[in-house]
Amino acid sequence: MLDFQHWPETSAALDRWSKISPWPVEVGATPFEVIETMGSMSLRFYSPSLDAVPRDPVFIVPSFINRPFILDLMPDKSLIGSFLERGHPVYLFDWGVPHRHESKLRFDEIVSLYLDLALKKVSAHSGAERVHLVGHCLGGTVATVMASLNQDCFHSLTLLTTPVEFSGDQKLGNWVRNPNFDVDAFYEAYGNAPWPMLQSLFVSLKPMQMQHKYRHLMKKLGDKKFVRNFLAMELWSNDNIDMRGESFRFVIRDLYKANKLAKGELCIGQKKIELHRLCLPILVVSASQDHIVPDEALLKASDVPHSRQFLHFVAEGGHVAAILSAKAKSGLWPRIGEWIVASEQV
Amino acid sequence: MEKSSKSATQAVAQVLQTISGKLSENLDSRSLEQRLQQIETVVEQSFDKVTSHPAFLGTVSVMLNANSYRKIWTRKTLEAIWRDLEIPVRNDQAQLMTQVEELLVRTKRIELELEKARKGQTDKNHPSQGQKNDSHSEPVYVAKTANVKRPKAGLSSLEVQ
Repeated sequence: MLDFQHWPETSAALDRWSKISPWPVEVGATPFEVIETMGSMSLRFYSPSLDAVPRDPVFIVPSFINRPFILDLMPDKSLIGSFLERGHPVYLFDWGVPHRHESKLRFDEIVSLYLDLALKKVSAHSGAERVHLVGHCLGGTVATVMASLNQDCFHSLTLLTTPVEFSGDQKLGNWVRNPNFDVDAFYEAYGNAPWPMLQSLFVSLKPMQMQHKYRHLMKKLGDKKFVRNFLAMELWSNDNIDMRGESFRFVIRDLYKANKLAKGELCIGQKKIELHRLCLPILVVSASQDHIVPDEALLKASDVPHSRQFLHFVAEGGHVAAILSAKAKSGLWPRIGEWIVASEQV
Repeated sequence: MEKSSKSATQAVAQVLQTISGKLSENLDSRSLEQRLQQIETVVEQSFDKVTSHPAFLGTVSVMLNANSYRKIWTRKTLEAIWRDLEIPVRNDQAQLMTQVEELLVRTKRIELELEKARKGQTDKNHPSQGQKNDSHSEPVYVAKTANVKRPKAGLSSLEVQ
């Protein structure tokens, strides 16, 4: 809330910010090279720090409903940067902005062809036999499927705020599971799911968050660092992409309605995805105040009894802040980095 | 003239300062913050009640479905006309584009597999040559794990399931 006693300071801060044009927000600034393109999708390569001890590569699968620069938000706030500093070459699968015709690309085709090609390319480019797989949000769900299909290619699996069990009594799940909603008709009519619809769906989960957020901004308008972070986050949260039509249909029909992944009924090509066969060391990171992926939606140790190591970190904050906050930078990221290195020995 | 305009500005500034002062006296910012939070909670709870009600969800679904059916019907009708006129329709083009892209991806995969197999064969037949890779095929980054002292993971304070 505006503090009237400090109005002159707030006014001066407003004045200062209004004079800066364009506003100094640098997102996704870490240099990368696109080493493979597959339609609108591509594979990025981030070169590691030369000072660090060289380590095995990290392959990141970001969420397919947002831009991937959330993992490389600002120069001083970059999860990708933290991997690079530790000496891991980073490969990121960029889902791109889907073309109209890509609405017909089935989820199983994306995993068995596109992601498989990306994985092969990572292997050929890095020369490493095994890589560390990291998935964020729905990208983590994809990463879990990939890990089940090619266990020999990975050292470890890290899931950042990732839903795997979709049958829980969550608000989002209850909305999209509504039996009256004809997802097939929606897909046929729209093709790719339009991002404004998806964004309003997520905003409606916490309708007052927007107002709360701006109230907080007004309080901290004098804090340059805060404002920069705020602008970067706003840029990311409002710069969404359409979801490929078939992928949207898959998420609603096969995950939210039928919960096929958790039940072990999901098939990619001829192969059945059975989580209980996963042997890899697995790290699950959840957020303490996550209203999109609550605790009951996470992968649990009982789902993967054969996993060589199963750890669960709980990070403070919401769905995104838990992974990106200053606390995450000083606490969570080093722990993930240490665990990833240690997992090679497990 | 200038003096009078200055004094007017000063007067306005004084009035504004008085209003601002009175406002800050009368408004206890902490209680205002609490009141706003209360309002937010009430609005959010009401919104939750409405949006989780089957009647609301049913109505929204019917509206979405009706719009989808309308779009499908319009598209199919137009497509039938284009097809009669032997004009290619977007849906078929999209299908074709997807198949072409898939074919490209499959080709790239086969190329990579072939390259890997060829490299493996070279290493097997000429182990000395296999080590002398040309710069093009040489892996960019290979972790030299054998000589690396790994830091111990500090997992003691973590929540472990």
